[in-house]
Amino acid sequence: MIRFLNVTQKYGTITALRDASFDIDIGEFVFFVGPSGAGKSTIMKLIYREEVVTGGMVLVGRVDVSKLKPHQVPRLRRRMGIVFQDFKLLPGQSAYDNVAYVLRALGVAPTEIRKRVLGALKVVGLIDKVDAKPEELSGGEQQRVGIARAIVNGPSLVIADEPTGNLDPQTSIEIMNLLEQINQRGTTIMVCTHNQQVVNTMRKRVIQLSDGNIVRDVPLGAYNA
Amino acid sequence: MSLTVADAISTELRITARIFQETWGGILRSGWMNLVIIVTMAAILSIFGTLLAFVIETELLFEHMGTGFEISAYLKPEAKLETVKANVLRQPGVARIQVVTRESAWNEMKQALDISNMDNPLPDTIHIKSNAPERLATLASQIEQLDGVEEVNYAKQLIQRLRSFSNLISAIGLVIALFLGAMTLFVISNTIHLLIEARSREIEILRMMGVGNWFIRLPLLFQGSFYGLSGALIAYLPLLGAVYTIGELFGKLQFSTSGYSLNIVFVIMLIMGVTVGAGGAANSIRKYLRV
Repeated sequence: MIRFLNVTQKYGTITALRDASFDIDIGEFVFFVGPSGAGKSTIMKLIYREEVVTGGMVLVGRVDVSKLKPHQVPRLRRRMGIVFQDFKLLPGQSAYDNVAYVLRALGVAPTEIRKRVLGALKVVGLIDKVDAKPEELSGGEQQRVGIARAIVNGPSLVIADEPTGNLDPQTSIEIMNLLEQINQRGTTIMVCTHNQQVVNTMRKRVIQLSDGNIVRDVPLGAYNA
Repeated sequence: MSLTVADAISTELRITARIFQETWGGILRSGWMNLVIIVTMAAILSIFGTLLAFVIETELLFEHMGTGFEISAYLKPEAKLETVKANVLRQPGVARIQVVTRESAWNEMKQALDISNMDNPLPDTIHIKSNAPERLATLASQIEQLDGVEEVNYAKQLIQRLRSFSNLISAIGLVIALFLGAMTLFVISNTIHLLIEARSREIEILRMMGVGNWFIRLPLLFQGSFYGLSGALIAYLPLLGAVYTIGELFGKLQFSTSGYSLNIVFVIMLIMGVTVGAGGAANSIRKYLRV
């Protein structure tokens, strides 16, 4: 599903990622761990092509991401769902509208939107809060809306960059359980985190980064070696 | 998922409708700035339109004058009419002439003014029509130098004064229009910039979720165009007044203007307005919008 081949990413004189290679299969659940600045976010950004790779090759499905023209990027991103640390919800708009927002922009039929949005909100356990605005929701609930928005288009890959960064430990575990549940439906999940407790509880594949290098890649691993 | 053509079309229609919805949302968000922009836009387009209408009408007037106006040559009492007439006809640019002898002119005047016992004070007159209106002055001075010609009269002064007035108007108008145009561009650009800032979260979400770039750009461009369009529509009224006033003014000079400039100027104003509006938006999109 995802393949990194000797990827080196430079920003000017800074090397954010050095000769990184790994494969992620369809249906996997992978943690990327390491301190801030280790290169986790760079990997995410290369996959959804917020950054263009400076060396090596990044494949998403059968697509060489670096060869995409700017106008082809939206099509790539529609195949994935992205979850943010700060939720990025639209204030003043209901959970329903937040999830429906992008579908409306994509021109999905109203009946289809309703079906999909309610379906996604049901998956994340917020079916009784469809009308609640972000201000009326707890942090964990807001992130659930964020996840509902990420999966509403039926993506084969969900990318979450520090999804529990703003949440307490208990809520963090709940969010991870939700992602695992989505994973069990066949969606590939990639999570960047430096939350040790979460990683140690979940026991999934762990790719550890340090200073731009992949230093460890283990199945069912813990945060530390 | 298989898509039929009908599905694809209705998807496009929904996206289009959504783009207009987003445009309207952006306008609502801009609040009182809308008023400032549209009024400024209407003012600049009114000035520009009036100027353009004046220039067009004046050109039409000159053209009309060139064909309608003629040179009148008054002959010296001792001049031989037939000789002068032949010499005049030899000048380049003369289309046709009309001779009014002193006798026939005097008869006419006597009838009109009811005077009878006086010596005829009038000269023989040759009225000359030119087929090269732009050379009217040259032709007049050539005729003035002919033997037997006492004096030449034509609408030289009137034309010259109109010309210089028209040039002055154009120059002042152009400076004002350029200044206001730059200002409008700046104001629109700023408004769209503020909107991009205010919508940064929505825009980021749309980008990340794979919504096409044009869906993000078009509402902003449309909003800019909306300002230009509204400004031009409002400016139609002052333009109407201006064209009417120009008509009145020229009417006093015995020329009827057709108001021909009205529609063409209005169309140009619409194009200008939309171009400036969209241009201001495009400027901000280019500078501040990362898609």
